[in-house]
Amino acid sequence: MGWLAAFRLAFGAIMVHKGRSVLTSLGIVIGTASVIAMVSAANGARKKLDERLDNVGRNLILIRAGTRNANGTLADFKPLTNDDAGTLRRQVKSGVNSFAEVQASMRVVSTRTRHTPTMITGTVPDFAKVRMWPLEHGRFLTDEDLKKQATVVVLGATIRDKLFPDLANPVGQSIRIDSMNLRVVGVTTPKGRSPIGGDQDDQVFIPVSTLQRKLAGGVENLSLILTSVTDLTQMDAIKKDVSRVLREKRRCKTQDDFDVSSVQEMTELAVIMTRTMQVLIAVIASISLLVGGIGIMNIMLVSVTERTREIGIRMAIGATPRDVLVQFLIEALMLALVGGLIGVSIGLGGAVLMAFAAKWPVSVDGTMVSLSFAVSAGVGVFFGYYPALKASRLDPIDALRYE
Amino acid sequence: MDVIRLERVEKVYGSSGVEVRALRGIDLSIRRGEFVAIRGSSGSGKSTLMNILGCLDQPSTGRYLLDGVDVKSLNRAQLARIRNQKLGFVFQGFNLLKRHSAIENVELPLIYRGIPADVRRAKALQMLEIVGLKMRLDHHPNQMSGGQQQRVAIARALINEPQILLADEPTGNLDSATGKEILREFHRLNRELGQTIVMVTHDVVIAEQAPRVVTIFDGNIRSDVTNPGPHTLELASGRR
Repeated sequence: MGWLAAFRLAFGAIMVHKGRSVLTSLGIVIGTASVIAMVSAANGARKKLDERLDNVGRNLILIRAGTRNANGTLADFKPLTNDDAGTLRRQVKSGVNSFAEVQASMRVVSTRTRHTPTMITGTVPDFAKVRMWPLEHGRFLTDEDLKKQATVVVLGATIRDKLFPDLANPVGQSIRIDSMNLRVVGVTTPKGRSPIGGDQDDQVFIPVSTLQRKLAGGVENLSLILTSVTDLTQMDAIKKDVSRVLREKRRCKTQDDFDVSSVQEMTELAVIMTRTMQVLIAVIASISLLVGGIGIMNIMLVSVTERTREIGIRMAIGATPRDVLVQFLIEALMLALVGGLIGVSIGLGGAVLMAFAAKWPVSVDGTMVSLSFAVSAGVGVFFGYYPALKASRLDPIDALRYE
Repeated sequence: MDVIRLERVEKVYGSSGVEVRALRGIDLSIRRGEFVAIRGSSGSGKSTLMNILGCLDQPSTGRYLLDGVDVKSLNRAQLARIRNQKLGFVFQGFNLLKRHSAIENVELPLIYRGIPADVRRAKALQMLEIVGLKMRLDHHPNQMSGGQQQRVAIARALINEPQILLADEPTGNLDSATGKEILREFHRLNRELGQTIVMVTHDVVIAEQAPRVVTIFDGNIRSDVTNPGPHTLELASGRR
């Protein structure tokens, strides 16, 4: 029998019991739909995370004061100082884009007409280099600013929009923090959200010396020392170097009173969660496909019994066992493929909806879709084989006599 | 030339102790162009003989030569091919596929022979015309009378131009008038196309219409009689 005739025959048989066929393929529908939707969701979440990781910089290392205890929280607080940063700058030279002190403080910044609370980041000129953060307008802080404790400020893009909604380039304008007047010398380019979700552009930068002397009343308490590596593969080596230098400088004996961690490892939990999710999806999908396959086998067995006489007639007029086998195998295959088709459509729809709701990029994997089809087909052939074999082995005399 | 040749054919069912000997050594030769009725009551072994002649079953011992080929050595697929190309079946219960139209039923043997669709259709149309059903080709079995269904079955049986047309109680499900019509059709096919026909029946009256009557009793051939005279004319005039 030709393939075209065989497919037409199988299609006809499926269309006789439309409702039953749809119900039969439901297991496959659910299996493929959940795979497509969830894999797309996991990919979308992963992409969003990657994007934010790139926003912050994968190469970034954060040095914080305090000891990381068993719970992972920071305790035993002894502040980081400008001197610590200076020592690191002098002793760790290769493989890093310098070091930058960061002392942050939440304050209200204002123009004559507008006020907004934001993060005041006191830092050094090298900050722009460490964060690889270019400027949109003007210039970043300079060594001169640092030395003179200059009252100059570089605005984040969000703050620029809040304070100067009608002015793209506010360089030369002045703003106030507490009672201090500062001159705007630059605006940074937008950098987007961090992996934790904070808006990195919702901050202003002033010289760390200005912050410590003129705003914080002489308190020298760095929130962070930042550095970034030039080669990601050197991350662990640099972290070790940094720890060694700081340990010596701060005379730590048994336990470090500081913490060195990379942005990459901070997001590892999220990566692990995505992976766990993917394993879960694979398990759910396999179970669903298994159940779907059994459903197909079940209904094909029913179908073979119902059509025993038809099989007998076909055999009497010349159908070979192989013809009968192929006929029922194609029927099972088509049931599974119809399920796969419906499942893929539902899954894709779900993926788009989820991406829309969670505001992550729509991520449809072409290989995933074709793989789903292939697996559906495989399930159909695998679970359809036994009923088809049973049909092909019927004795034509018995089959013809069957009522 | 013998198109069918049975030599000492026996058929034994069951095993170890409870054996049923359905056929006990049948010798039978049928020449091309003959119209033979095989008559017997139920349990005589005529159905078993029919199944063996139709290559649906194989003899336990003895030889069956169909068109010179010993079927003993053939596997299931080869037997299927013989049924497809050398034999045509007409059953008591018509055995048409319900989901398919008349013409699709007639085409079926050609599908299993791998004939392309356009050739199939043309040939099936031709066959339906021969049995006088050209106007019914898109009807489904449940839209046709018993006589019409049996004609479709005959068209299906003849489409591969078989060596032998095997009919198993072909009038059993029909009223007597329609039964006669079908028998007349057989006679016409035998006379006009030289179609070899083997018809199995339990009905003496119907069997007697055939030019040659083989009577089976208890697994043996009891008699093998050649009737003289123009049988079809008797049927046509309605006399017995």
